[in-house]
Order: sequence, then C-alpha cells, then structure tokens
Amino acid sequence: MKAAFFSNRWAVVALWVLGALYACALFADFLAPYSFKDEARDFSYAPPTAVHFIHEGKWRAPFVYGLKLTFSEYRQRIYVTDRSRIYPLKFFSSRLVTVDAPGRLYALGADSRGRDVFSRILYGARVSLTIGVIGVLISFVLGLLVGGIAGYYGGRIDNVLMRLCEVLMMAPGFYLLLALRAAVPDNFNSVQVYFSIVVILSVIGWAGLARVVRGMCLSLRERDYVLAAKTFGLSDFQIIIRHILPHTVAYSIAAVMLSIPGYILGESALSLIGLGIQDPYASWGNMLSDAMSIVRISFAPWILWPAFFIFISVVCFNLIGDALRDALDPTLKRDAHG
Amino acid sequence: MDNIISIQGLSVNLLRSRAGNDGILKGVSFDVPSGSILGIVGGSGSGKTTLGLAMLGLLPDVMARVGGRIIFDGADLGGYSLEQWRVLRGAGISMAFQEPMSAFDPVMTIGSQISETLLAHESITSAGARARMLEALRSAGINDPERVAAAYAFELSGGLRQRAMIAQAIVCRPKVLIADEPTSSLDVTTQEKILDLFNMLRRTLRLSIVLITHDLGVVRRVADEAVVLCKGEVVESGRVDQVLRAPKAVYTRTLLEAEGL
Repeated sequence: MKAAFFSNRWAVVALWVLGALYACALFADFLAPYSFKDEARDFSYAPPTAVHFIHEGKWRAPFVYGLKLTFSEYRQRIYVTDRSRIYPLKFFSSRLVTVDAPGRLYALGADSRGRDVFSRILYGARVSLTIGVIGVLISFVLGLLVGGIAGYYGGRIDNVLMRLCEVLMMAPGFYLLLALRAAVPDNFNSVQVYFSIVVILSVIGWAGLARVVRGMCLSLRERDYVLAAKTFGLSDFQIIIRHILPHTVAYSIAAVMLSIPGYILGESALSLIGLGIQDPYASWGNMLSDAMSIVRISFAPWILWPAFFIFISVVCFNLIGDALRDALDPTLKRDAHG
Repeated sequence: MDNIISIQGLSVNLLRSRAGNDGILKGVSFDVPSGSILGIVGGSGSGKTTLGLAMLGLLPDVMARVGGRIIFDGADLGGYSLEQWRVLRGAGISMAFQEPMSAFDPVMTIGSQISETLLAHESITSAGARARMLEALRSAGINDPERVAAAYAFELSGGLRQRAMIAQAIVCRPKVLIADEPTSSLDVTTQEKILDLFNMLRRTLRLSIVLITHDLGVVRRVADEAVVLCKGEVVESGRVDQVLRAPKAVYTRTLLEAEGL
C-alpha cells in the first residue's frame, strides 16, 4: 500500500510541496520579512523590489534601493527607484531577511496599505492551510458517527439521519455557508471567527461522507464478527466504533483527503467577500478581496499571488487524495492510471 | 440436578412471510441440566441455529418470538431489557461459532478482541484484562497464549482459531456455552481435540454446554442428553444412549441410517 502510494510520482511531489507550504506557515515569524500588519502607507501597491548587487559601478553585498512616490498627470501613482541611497539586506537578524527603514523589501509587491504580500501569504497560510485540516477532522468524526449509526441500526433512525443529510446536501453549498455565517455574531474576535468558520464548513461537509459510510455499514453489519461481538455482550456503540467503522477507513481516509480543497476554497470564498478572516489578519481569501476590481489588478497584478497559492495547495491535496484512493483500493486496476 | 436453562414452548415466526407456514420454531421445550452437555441435532433448516440465537435474544430482524419462555438460572428472560440482555450475553450465556475465521474481526488481534469482551463486562484494568485473556487462552488448551494473542485470525490454524473462539466465549466465565456447529469446519483429529476440550471445560469450569450440530457422532461422543429437531419441532429428546440406541422418532432413525451409525 505504501509502495503503491509512493510509486505515484505526482503525489510524492505534491507531498513535498505541501510539506514546504506547511513549514512556511509554521516558521512564518522567521521567514517573512515583515509582520502581517506592518503597514507603510507611502508604499501602497509598491511593485516587487529588485535586489541589486552593483551600486555606482561597484560590487556590493545584496541591497535594495528606496522608492520615491510620484503622481502622473492623471493622479496615478508612479514609483521611481531612488538610486541615491542603498539599503543592504540584513540576514538572520530576528527574521531571515530584513532591510532598514525607510527601505522596504517587497518580494512579491505590496498591497493597498503597503504591507508585504509575501509576508502576508506566509501568515495567511496559517489560516488557509489549517482550516481545511481541522474542518475535515470535525466532519470526519461527524460523518463516520452519523453514517455508522444510520447504517448499523437501519430502519427509522437511518431514515431520519439520511433525510437530514439530504437536506444539508440539497441546499446550494455557498448559500448555506452564507446563511450559517450570518447566524454567527459579528463581534467575534479573530480566533472565534476562525473557529466558527471551521465549524460552519464542517457542518456542511459531513453529510456526503455520512451517506457513503452508511452504505458500507449496511453491508458490514451483516458480517459474522458483528454477530459474534453481539453474542459476547458488546454494546452497539462499541461494535460500531471498534468493529464496523475501522473497515470503512480505506475509503474515508481518501475521501477526507479529497475534501480538504473544498474547505480551503470555502474559507477563501468567505474571506473574499469579507465574511471570513478580518483585516488586518491575513488569509489567502481576504488578501484576494483586494483584487476584486480590474483596475487594481491591472495596476498591481501581484495582489493575485494568494490565488496562485490557493491553486497550488488545492491541486496538491487532490493529487495526494487521488493517490491515496488508488493505493487503498485493491480492486482498482493499477495500470489504468498509468 | 438443577436446570440452568429451561426452554418452555418456544415459538419463533418469520415476519411478513408470503408463504402460509412461517413458523421457524414451533413450541420447542427442553431443559439443560447444569454442568451437562446437551446436543441439539437437526438437519439444515431445522431451526437449530435460530434456537441458539433465540437463547441470546439475538433473533434476526425478520423473525420474532411469538410464544414460550426462556428461563435462565431461575430468571425469565422474557421481560429482559436490551441492557439486561447485553449483560447476559458473554457473561451469562455465551456462544462459539462454526466458522471462527469470519467470527473474528480480521483487523484486530485475537488478544485485543478477547480483552475487549472482558472490558465490556467487568471494570478491570487493561493489565488485568490481559492476564485474564491469557488465562482463558490457556484454559482453552493453547500452549503459547502470548503468540496467539498477538496474532490475527488468518494467521492461525483452524484448530487454534476454534480454541481462541472458545477462549473468547469463556473469558467472562459464563454459565452456559452455546456452541453452534463448533467442529463442522475442522478435520477429524482436530474435532476430537475440541470435543475433549468441551469435556474438560465442563469439568473444570462447571460449564453447561449446548452443542448445536448435525453430526450424531459428535453428540454420541460428548453429550449427556440429546434433543432432535425437525422442521422447528422437537421430535425426540432424552439421554443420548437412549436416543441413539432406541430411537423412537422416524426422523432420528433416518438421521442414524444416513450416518451409518
């Protein structure tokens, strides 16, 4: 099984990429040149900073030039490189790379308030990459429990639980998301908002898993060892937890992996329209809310960078989920996928 | 001698059956004297497995008990709640199955399944449960309980699996063991050893055993009493030597002839 997973080259690449992204999120305090709320209003939408090595014809240690803000005749911002003074890069002084103020280092450009997009992407990864995993854990537990109970008991319990699932699945996901978000008080602090988003996303996400698990349990409950467990006096709950659900794990693990992208996108969507993580805290979704007007995108295309990271992480989770599903499913023909 | 189990006029029907005749058990009555081995003999479809499940309150959803009483150790099980039934199973009446391969969960070790049975009934530490589990395996005639406890069902031989199954059934020290075709899937020499084990358990643990089988040879070898079931009805019962030597019912005679006994 392990070998089957690792023989999928793309999944291994995806695993490394995701590992790197999570490491970035974990060490954001060190890797990011600035804090996520470090503003510099003079540098609003400043372009990515070039790192130079030659100043007035002489080789130097890597440094950056300052920027001078001017306006065009139409009152448009124009940044002019100010070559009069250099700001050398300083390594390993509390953060990996810094420059002395008033110099600024924008690896991927600046946003409307002159905050570093690159730094905010690293800090935003903490929200965007964890919300999916935590959310999926909650809906994993919910889905397995509800599916297990419905499938094991059958009859009326099954009927009620499955109709509930269908109601949740019937409502268009995004509007349900909005409705649930509207039900959450708007004076929450950022941690509370974070967890309410996690909960909202998992409330929507468990139903699909529950339905499939229920179907598997309908057949698993007829196994001899379930009857045997009953004759030895195990309670229904013990039987479900210990003798039925473990047999659905191969499916559920893959299903869960494949549903993480949905959570990442869900958080992004909520934050994009301002209902998720609030400024000044960064998430990939709320960074993109800056990029909702075509004027701003054409003027400062680098504010689209978070979308690239959303795309990369979603693709990675999908690749890993696909590979897991193939590796865990012995009935699937290996050569069919190349 | 007291009766540990007394079945009085037990009837079980198939629910919602389209055919007119839907009785699976029709007024079955017999007693299991405590400390004895009772053989229930019958062909396929005679209702013997249903009888075993009825004694544990585990009839399939499509069946229902429509009459009769089951008395266990002086208590009428008719009024038992679900929780009372659960406590009774394993600790009062226990069951061993024909096919231990499928009766063990394939993804759990034998040892953890046996300990799990103990933990479901008694409040003991996991270390205590482990000791009791190894003891049960040993009393089921397994010489290297540590190895068997760490194994999965598919790693053991048929005989060892059946012994492990019996160990799981007796680990909570029940008074009655219902063994449903315990030897049918085993070769002849292993059969002998398992039957010896039943005899020994009866002596050392004062266990009463209800042996459900289609094999009159098995009954002859270990049982004290025999009940012959045919199409859900008791056609004959009594001491084994009586039943086998001087069968009164036609069906018993047919069975004996078919087995060449």
